[in-house]
Amino acid sequence: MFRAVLSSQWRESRLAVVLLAGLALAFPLLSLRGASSASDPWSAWDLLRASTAWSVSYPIVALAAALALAAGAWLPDRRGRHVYALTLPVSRSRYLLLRFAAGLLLLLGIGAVLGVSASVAAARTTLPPLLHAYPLGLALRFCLAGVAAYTLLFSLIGLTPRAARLIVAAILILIILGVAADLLNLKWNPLVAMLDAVFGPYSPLTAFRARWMLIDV
Amino acid sequence: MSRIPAIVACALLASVASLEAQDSAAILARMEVRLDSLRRLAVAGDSTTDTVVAGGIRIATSAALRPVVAPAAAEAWRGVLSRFGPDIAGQRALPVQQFGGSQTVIPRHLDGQELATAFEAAAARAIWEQQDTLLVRWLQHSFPIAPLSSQTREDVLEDLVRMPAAANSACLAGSPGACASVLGLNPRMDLLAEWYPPATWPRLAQLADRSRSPGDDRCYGQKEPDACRSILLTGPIPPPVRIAGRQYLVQLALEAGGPGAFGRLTADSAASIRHRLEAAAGITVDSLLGAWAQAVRASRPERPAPTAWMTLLVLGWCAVVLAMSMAEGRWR
Repeated sequence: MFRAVLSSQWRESRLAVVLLAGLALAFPLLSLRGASSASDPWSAWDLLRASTAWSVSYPIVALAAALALAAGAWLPDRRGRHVYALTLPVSRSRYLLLRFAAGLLLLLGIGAVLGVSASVAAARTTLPPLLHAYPLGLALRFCLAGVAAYTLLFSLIGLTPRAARLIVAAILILIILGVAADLLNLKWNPLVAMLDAVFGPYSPLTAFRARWMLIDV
Repeated sequence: MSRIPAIVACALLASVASLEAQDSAAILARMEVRLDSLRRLAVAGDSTTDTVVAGGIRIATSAALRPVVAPAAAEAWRGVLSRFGPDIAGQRALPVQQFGGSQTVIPRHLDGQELATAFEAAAARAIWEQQDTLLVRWLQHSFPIAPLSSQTREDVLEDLVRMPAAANSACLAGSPGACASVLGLNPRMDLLAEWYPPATWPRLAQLADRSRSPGDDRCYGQKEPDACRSILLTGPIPPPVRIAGRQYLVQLALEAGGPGAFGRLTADSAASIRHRLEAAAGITVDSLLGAWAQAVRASRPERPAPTAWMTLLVLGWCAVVLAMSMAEGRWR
């Protein structure tokens, strides 16, 4: 059963998966391609600069992978108006778990490619003293951030129209309350509080917040 | 009649009585500062109708803003006293700060604490600017007006690691002498040679972004150290660690010294910075530099690997969101 769902997921999102895995493979290698030899007094400077410049690319790939896989998980069912899923002798929750797990597996695969590529790039670079390579840490953060974004997007894309309407209504109410709180000169604004919570240190997206440095102090 | 001569005349009359009894040089200096501030108030003209005074802090504002400004100024002065010590009240008068005017509408979300912090920072900057040239030049007019953030300490650590200065790695390893060199505490004539090996000069000259002339190719192209040296000496040499490193050293000295530390730091303007830091901190400069190096080493940025706590948090959220998604019974 899982193999069938995985195969369906692969068919839907293979282009995105191959492309994103290619980027995950290329970025760490490209980021350290111009690294000078450790005997160059400016090597630490160059490595940190390159690492900082490329650090933005990893969360973008994680987010793109999460989006592509979450969309790919639902596309076949949406297209067939869930007829295939309804004919299967499994409960809805079990079917969703299978769909979720199939996308998750492909996401972790992209994370593994990033880990291998980052390890190879770091191994090929002679680091000056006081600098460290974090290929495994980077790959783990990629996977965690990817899983968080994938779960949220999977749930949002899979909403029934009724639930989607409820969520849109809740967001509108929040915006109205936020404007009202601003007009009434209240110190607490529910909209600001909500945004703080979504992007705060305790949010599911907290893994996106830190420095994604392959080479760092 | 213009308002300025009238205000000046009033101020002079008011001070005549006490002139005889006091030291003439001191009173003249104080008069000068007072007249300056009165002139500024007069120039501000119609927009300024009230002056809030809290200790040494004076804020020119409007009567409408007084209820907001007065408590913030008092809070700011308390902060100044706790940072610089009570002796600061006897030092030179601080310039009048301008805040709003009669036309200013009080912002709805005006945070009194933020205002107090701003007044305190302005007063702290003015106090630092009044100090002697040696101290001001060592800090390059970049003063420790507020406690340094952890991000700034991370930046200092990053500088120590990435800049190819001769003493940086030894300083990070905890050598006080190396840290003294990195922080510009050694009185040397040839700062460039002390800080950077000649092999680094061509790139350093590029980074220093000096204006170029045709002869400069001997440095940038042929990498001749002497040519680079003459380019680099046309302006300030980039320090091995940003000036925030020096600010942090001063902050540590003031914290270690406790009450009166700022007074001891600024008491003897003829002494070297090293001796003044020692006097302020009440410990040897080597101990102070050791503490500085240790604190900077401890400011490593967060590693990319997620912590166990973060992993649990994110996975917990994922489980909740997924469970909510599966609880929905309808397919479409």
